[in-house]
Amino acid sequence: MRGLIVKDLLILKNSLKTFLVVLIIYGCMIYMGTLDIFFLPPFLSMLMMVSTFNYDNYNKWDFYALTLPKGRKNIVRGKYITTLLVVAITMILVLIIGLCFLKRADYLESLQTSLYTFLGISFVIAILYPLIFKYGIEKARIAIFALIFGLVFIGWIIIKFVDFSFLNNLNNLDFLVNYINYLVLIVIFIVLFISYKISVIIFNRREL
Amino acid sequence: MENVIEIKNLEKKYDKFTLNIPNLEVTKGMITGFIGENGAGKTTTIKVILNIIKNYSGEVKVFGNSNDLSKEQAKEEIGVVLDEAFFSEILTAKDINTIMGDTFKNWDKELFYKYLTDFKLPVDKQIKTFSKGMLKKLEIITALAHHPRLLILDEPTTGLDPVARREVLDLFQEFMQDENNSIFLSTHITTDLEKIADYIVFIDNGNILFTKEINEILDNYAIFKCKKAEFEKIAKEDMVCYSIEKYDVEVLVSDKKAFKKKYDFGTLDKVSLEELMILMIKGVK
Repeated sequence: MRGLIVKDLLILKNSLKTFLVVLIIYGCMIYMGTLDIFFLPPFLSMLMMVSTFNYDNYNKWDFYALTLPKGRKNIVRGKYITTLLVVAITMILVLIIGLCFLKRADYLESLQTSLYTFLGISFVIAILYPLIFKYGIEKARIAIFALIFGLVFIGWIIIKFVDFSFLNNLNNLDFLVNYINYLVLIVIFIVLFISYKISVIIFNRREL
Repeated sequence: MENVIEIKNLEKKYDKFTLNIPNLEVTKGMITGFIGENGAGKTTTIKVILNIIKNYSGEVKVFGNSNDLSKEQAKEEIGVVLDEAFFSEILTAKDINTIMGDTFKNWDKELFYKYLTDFKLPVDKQIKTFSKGMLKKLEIITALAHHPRLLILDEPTTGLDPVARREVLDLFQEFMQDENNSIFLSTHITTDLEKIADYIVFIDNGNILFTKEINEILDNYAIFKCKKAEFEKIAKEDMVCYSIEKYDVEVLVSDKKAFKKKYDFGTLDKVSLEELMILMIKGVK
């Protein structure tokens, strides 16, 4: 599997210059105070990882990879691990940049924002990757647009028609706030684990 | 003789195509050529052998084992060249060395770099800058650099000029110097097989038409050319198939000596694998 991870990292190496420029611009914007959000570069790094599926698809890499030792499971596992690795590294870089340059640096708040960013990215990966392994990157792209549109539509329906006043009666759940970070971590783990398992099943069944 | 690949009663059904191989053997120490037109089932057969396609009936053994785990382990000892499936074109030969070093236990960096030098392939340039021939050479040396015992090659000489083709065929023959090594080679360029193959497996529309030693084919098969009127005199059992052309009839015969004794008209010509393939696919049986 190490070979598969190295392969994606070497593909990403080609986009490294562009990515570094983005990070520098980002650092400058933070320094000048025009931006203090943390989630953009990690999302960008995730999208860069998704782009490796395009390269794979163009050169029929999956077919070739299946002729190599270790089989299908490792192809899926490799993608998940590399994505998490790349996103985590980006997030650490962004945190360092942010904490160095952000004038009103708040360590705890920054860490928490990073955690929520990771949660968001995990959900996107959790939905997107099984779709890619099922339909291939081309069709999955259409599916993900449909999915986003669907989620936005459902969100709009909920906001428009659901009465949220019942939330005021949930004061007794305050104790949860103390554990929210742990909860988020557990949710991230569960969501990614389920998504990974689904992707393995899907990819095992797929005929290439 | 020991077989490195054994297929028995394989059946794989698709909507409009069925691959049906009652028996196929690739013998250790031999080069087995796999011929047939596009869509005949060559790549599907290779996918089955490599455990990429699993949903089939029948038995497929690689190095004597038929279970999934053994077949996956066997990949350490198999070198593969596929038709148009390889690493991303933005990678370099150096990158491939790094990746394969982390993939195969027996990856031989020195051998890989020696091949790169021998074939004058650049180490640091992206694959997309390679010509078709250079890319094919890179694919072949990548398949060889982990010291496989078995090479499975799908159209390995397509896109190569005659000089490069000869270089590659020499490489295959060098690989076969070790009598424990074997090659299963699918190709359209049948003249390559005439140079290096020991056995020929001929597949058409998902069915194996024959498996024969190449010498048996080239020594015994022939094309008999005669006039249409003369053709009527030939017994059906004496011909494999025939094709009625504009001015004469071409008949494929499988025992040219016996045929010559029986019929004293027309001319018997040597048959190439290509002619044999075309006649057997397009001719009337």
